[in-house]
Formats: sequence, structure tokens, C-alpha cells
Amino acid sequence: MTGTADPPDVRGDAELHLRRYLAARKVGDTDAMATHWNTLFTINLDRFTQRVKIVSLGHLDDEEREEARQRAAILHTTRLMWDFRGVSMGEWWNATKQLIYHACLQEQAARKAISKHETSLDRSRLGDDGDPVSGYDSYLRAEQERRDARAQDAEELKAEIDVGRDFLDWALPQLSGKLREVAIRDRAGMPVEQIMEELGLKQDAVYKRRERYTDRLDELGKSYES
Amino acid sequence: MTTTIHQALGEFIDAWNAGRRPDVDDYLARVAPADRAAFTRHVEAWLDVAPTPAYDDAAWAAVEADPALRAALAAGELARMPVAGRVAVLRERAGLAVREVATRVVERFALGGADAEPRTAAYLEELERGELDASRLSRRLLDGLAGILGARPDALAGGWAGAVAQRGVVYQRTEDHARDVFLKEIDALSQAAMAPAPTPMDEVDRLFLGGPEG
Repeated sequence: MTGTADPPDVRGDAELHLRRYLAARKVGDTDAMATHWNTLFTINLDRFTQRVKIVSLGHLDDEEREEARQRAAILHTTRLMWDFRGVSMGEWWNATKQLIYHACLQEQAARKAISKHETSLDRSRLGDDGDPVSGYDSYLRAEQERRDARAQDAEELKAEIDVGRDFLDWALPQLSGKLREVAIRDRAGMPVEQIMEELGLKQDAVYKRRERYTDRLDELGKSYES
Repeated sequence: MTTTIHQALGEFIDAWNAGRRPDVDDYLARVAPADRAAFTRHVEAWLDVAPTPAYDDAAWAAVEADPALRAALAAGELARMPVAGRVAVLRERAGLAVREVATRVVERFALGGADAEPRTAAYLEELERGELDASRLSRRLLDGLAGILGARPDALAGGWAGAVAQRGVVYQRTEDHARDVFLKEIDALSQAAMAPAPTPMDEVDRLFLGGPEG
């Protein structure tokens, strides 16, 4: 799967900055923490933006969605940088998702005007038990509990990073056959033409497998969270 | 003309991986209304696993020029400053003199007395010079100042500011240091017990010295 046509491993850059952020956090070097946290956020800005757009879709108008994006971005650099206690990119992204949801809720509350075509984010995001899905505050509570329960010395930190806690490490092996093959190549950022060539598939077949594996990942994500 | 979920998703992923910065709204518009919720679930799942795209220089420049990003980075930088520095920076950005800020503080909190404005200005100058204990500033003053200086409400009183300071202490604290602090606190308490009772605070004092609830 590796070759001259492969894109650079830019995901590795994100993990590098996460590691440097974690190392800076360990020794209380706030300038270095900020440098690497901000770079990590910049690298992931498009992922962040698209997530805000999806979460706020149908709940906020265009202006409010942009305001929610701004609100979430500021919370990311001014609060989450200090509050984050994870050690992996998966945990970083989960924390970012919680923060985005929280910011959208805040934006909706700030405007205090939900028009007829909009529904409350709070009401629409109820869990199976009828309670609202946890937001940023519950993330903080959970992180505090974990903080209390675990001493993070350098060796433990390194071991956890090396082992990896990403959802993908757990989910990818559960995808079958060519779904997994397409997902692995997509995750490597491989162009569709190369995927077609390597797997002997037509473009439409690659697209259909993308639909199927993202559907499966969505299902697996729900059981992973529970 | 609408397109299928797999076609829209396939093209979205192609554009993502090519660093073309696809916008989910554009793709949603091409999907039949009945399929849109399902389409967003697929995109959400993709965002969970997507690699960082291989951006070219132009795309990187566009990412870095994003106004939301720039504002967030500026806010982060501001948040790492002590309150004194933040007040000074925000005041300069707002183009206000200390005296003008004092006038607005007096108006906002309806502070009485002929000397309210000069005393407020004096407190503000002390604050900017870092001579006031930030932990004694009242929450309502910080909220009010943020508004006067045209900043977001939590720009001065945000919880992260305290968190930064607290964590800095925790990281560096050793048992010896803790013992030193304890002895100094005992000493300070002893001296306080011997000192005459302080002059009662008025409204201006409470804003600047009365603590978060002042």
C-alpha cells in the first residue's frame, strides 16, 4: 500500500504535535503546550468546521452556525487546551466533538429564538434513556473522574500513546473484506484512481463501499461509545 | 437533479483526500431531502476516520487565513496573559485611554461620589501595572470591563485564566514548597490578627478588592 504515489503521512504530523503537547503539559510548559495545541487545531480545522456544520444543521441559521463555529474555536484554544486529559488523537477528537456540541447548544441558548423550522438541539439529542446526550460539562466531569483514578507518569503516557486508543484501532478489523481494504486506503488519503487500480474496482464500486463502511463505522461507533 | 448518497459521499471523500476542502453543505444540496439525514451520518463517520488532507500551499494559506481560526488563536494568546496584560491589550485595541475606561466603569456601576472616577482610574492603572491581586477583582467588574473594552464576556473572567495559574502552581509544587507556603500563611494570619481593623470598603473598593463576589 505504500509507494511513491502515496500522499505524505500528514496524520503523523497531527500525532507528533499531540505528543509534543502532552510532553509540554507534563512539565507545565504552557508556551509549548499552546504552540502544539494550536498547530493540532489548525491541521484539523476542516474536520472541525464540517463537524460544526453537521451538528448545527437544521438547528441554527447560517449566521448562527458561523457564530457557533467561532464560539467553539475560541473554547478550543482557551479552555480545552487546559482541560484536555486524553493522550490519543481519538480522545482529542472525541473531546473536540463534545465541545462543538456544547458550543452549538450555547449559541442556540444565546439567541433564545428557535424558529418554526428549527428544533432544539437539546431536545433532539436525547439518549435512549431520555436524558440529554452529554455535553462539554459532562466531558469535564468524566475527565476529572479519570484524572482522579489514574496517575499519568511518563512511561504510562508513552505506553498508552504507543498502544493507541483510537476508535479505529478497534473498529477497522471488524470491517469485512473489501470494505476494510477501501477504508484503510481512504484513511491513508489515497486517490480514488489508485484504489480502483489496487483493488480492481470501478469508481462506483469504491463509492458504494465507502457508503457501506461509513454506515458500519457509524453503527460500531454507537456500540463503542456505550 | 439529485444524486445518490454513495455518489455524493464518494465525491466528498475524493475532494477531502485531494485537499480541495469540500463543504458538506454543497454536497447536501445535491442529495434528495429524504436522504440528507443519512448522508450527514455517513459524513460524520468519515470525519471520525478521515486523514488530514494533503493540502497544497494555497489550501494551507486559506486554512491559516480563516477568520474563526485567527480569532481563536488570538483569544488563546490573550488567555495565557495575566489579567493585567489582557486589560491593557484590550484597552489599546479598543483605542480607549484609562480615564475613558474609568468613566465608563463609573457609569456602568453607577458609582457615587466626586472621587469615584479618579479612584477608579487609579485602580485601573494599578491593575495594568500588575500591582493588584487579580484574585481580588470582582467577577462583575471583569464582565463589565470586557463589555466596555468590546471583548467577549468571558475574555477577562474566563475559568481558564484561574486554571492556568492553579495548574502552574500544582506542576511546580513540592512538599518543601507546600511547607513554606503553609508557614508563610500562618505568619500572615498572625500579622493580620495583630493589625487594626481595615477601613470598610465602598463600592469602588469592592469592585477592585472585594473578590469574585464583590
